[in-house]
Amino acid sequence: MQILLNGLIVGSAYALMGVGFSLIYSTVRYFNLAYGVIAVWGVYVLLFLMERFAVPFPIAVFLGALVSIVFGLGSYVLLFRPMYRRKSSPLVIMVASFGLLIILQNFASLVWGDTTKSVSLSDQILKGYEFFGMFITANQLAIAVTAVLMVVLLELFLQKTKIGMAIRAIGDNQELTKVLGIKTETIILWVYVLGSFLSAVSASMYALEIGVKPTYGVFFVIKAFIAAIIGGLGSVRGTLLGGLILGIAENFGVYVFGGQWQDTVAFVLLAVVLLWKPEGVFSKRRLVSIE
Amino acid sequence: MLKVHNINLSLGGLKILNDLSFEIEEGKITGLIGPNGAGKSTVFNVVTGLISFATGSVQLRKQDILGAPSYQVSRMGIMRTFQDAQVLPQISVLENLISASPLIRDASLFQVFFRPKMMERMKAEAAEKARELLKKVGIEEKSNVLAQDLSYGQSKLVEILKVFMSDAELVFLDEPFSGLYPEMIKVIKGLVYELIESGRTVVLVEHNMKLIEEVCDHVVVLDFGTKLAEGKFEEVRENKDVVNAYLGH
Amino acid sequence: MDYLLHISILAAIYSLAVLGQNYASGFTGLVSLNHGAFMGMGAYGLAYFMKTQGLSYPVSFFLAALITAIVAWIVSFPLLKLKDDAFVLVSFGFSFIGYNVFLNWQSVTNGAIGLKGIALPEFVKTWENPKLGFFIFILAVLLVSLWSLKKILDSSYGVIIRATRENQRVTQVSGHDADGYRRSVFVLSSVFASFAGSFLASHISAIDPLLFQYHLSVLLLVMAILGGLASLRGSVLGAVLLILLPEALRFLGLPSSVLAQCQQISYGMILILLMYWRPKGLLGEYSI
Repeated sequence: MQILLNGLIVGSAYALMGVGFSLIYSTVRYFNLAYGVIAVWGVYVLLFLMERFAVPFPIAVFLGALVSIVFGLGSYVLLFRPMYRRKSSPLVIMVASFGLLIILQNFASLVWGDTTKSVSLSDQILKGYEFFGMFITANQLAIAVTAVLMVVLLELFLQKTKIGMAIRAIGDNQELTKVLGIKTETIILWVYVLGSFLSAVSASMYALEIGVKPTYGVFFVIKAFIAAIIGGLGSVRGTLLGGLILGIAENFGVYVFGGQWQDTVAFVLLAVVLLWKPEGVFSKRRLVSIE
Repeated sequence: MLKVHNINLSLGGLKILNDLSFEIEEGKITGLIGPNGAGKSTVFNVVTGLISFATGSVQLRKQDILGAPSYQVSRMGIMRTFQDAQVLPQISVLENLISASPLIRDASLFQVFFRPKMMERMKAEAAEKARELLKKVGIEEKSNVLAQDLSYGQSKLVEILKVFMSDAELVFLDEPFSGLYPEMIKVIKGLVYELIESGRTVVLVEHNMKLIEEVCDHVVVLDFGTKLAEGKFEEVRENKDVVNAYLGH
Repeated sequence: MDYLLHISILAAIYSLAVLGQNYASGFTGLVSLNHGAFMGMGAYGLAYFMKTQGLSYPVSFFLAALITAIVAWIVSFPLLKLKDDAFVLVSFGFSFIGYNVFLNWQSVTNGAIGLKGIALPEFVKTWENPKLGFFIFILAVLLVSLWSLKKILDSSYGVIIRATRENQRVTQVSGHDADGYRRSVFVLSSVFASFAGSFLASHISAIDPLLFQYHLSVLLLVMAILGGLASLRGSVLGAVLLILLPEALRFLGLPSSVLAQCQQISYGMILILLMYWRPKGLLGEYSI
């Protein structure tokens, strides 16, 4: 049962990461692999602010997320949009995003170093809580609360605001967005803002558990990708579920096979989903050639 | 020659083909017509094995072929063209045609190293035939041009020439005339007749009713995945359901 | 002189690996990030069979390649179903799994410590300069590989695999089992990578899992794209250029502490520049 709880907590971080990634994909139709590394930069900024200027955790997360947004928008304007205008194929853009990932990750390594830095809520040691025979740490609680908060805000945004509806529409139907009277370009910019924000927040929360190091850039985008695939690309609810499933599966896997096989479990799960139900749990896109 | 019986196909809750049955007679040109979205290309996909999850039966000369992988269906003698002339873009026109030749089928690594001369010969024969075809329609100078650099009309030509390269007896042509100017249409029409003269059976999807009337012996009308009518063009044209279907779109 | 020999050996080894990579990615359109893991299997396979099992060099060499081929064959079943961008990402995942296996399968790979003392093939040990002999041997294998691939690609088999690269459905409608051909290309390409990995193991004589992380797969792909997709000469060119890159960086006076990151940053920049301006690479015939 404890494993289930741990899995849910981790899964909620994965879920949020996955949603940002999935939203970007369903809007622009290419995989932006630099997604994870801009989040990492956000976390490093968070750390910097907390350590150097004693900024409280929540504010630092927010400021770090702002930096991530700058990186995200910058990468769109400077790299992805020009490539899209040149009619580069999604594969080519994805490979370019991978190049960007490598650059940003290694810059992080040069600037911040390779050692894992830990992130904590505050200076004092916070106690955990016990309930129903399970134990939940303060960090885990923070992750869960933030995740729920983010999901609620996200749903409100997507359902109630004009931009949110446009973002939902563009995944299915570009014609509909014209009806709403919002330019595609505006929608894309908003999606990058939203995606970068979500990735930074989820990375910051997850950093409470695992800290931060440059190579997490790859790590985060891979987990986001897997969560999105399991749930079905383009489906917000599906991806949220996918993230939770991933978190739980990983924790069970670690329990049964040992901690070193955590990533392997994730990828095996991915392979299983792709083979058995390639559209994901709530599907909208197909990644498998029709045959 | 080809018997299609009770074909049903659903995708994501939507019924695409509805209890479809018709027969293709050998040596004739049959037209498959219907408004946009009627399911004509889908029928092609089902019969040629590119879609495998339809139910019902498809029989080529009494042999069941529904559900067989598409490359096997091709080897049984069925060939199709694609509406948007799907040539292979980053290889040459000549190679495009060679790839359609049955002579190079079953090429294997074993053959590459242990039967090189035979492979050479097969490939050369296929290339020879390809060049002849290109010369016949007057685009021989494009042999070594990458297929992506062809004009639309030229791609459609190459698409049909691939049919000539193959030894398929039953040929499905998906809108071979669409988007072409009259000169080209004449050329392609000539090629379609040649296919018949060489003993092949042709099934044609086309929107140009004049061409259908001129070229086809037999017509099958589709709308919303259901067969509305079947018969000679003049009979079918009078059919109330058919008229409504076209007016309604 | 020794240093020049060392660089030359590396260039030859990587050329061989990139031949495999390009055979899959450039000629057949399978843009894979698996091949670093395949090199790792060749390296660990050779080391394990020679050291732990006491088998001779040739037997170990081919056994490692056989196992790599079998793994590639198995992996191809889920992998080949995917469309190109998903294919790349999942193949990336498999290279992650490969790294984890190298790191955690203690009984075979000795975990993080790695394996040491991997010998050169017997017959070069008798030479006056064994490393030179080894280099000539690798060069010979490279030349034979180039010759074989050229034969394959110029034949009608080559016509078919290029056709599958362009459009699988159309190729199937022409009567060819596109999936089968792609599978056989993927498996053969893994064998080239395995050979290269085995050579690498002997050359540096000590291997550990860190050598075979996803970075290696990325490097191979960048080499293939840079030199030119679907070009045999391009494969060698890409390998040589990116082997010389770290030397050039060192020459520029960059301190060794930042060398690794600068190398990686260069790869990233090269990728972006190539994707933006010339996705087919320098000598390439195919662009993704």
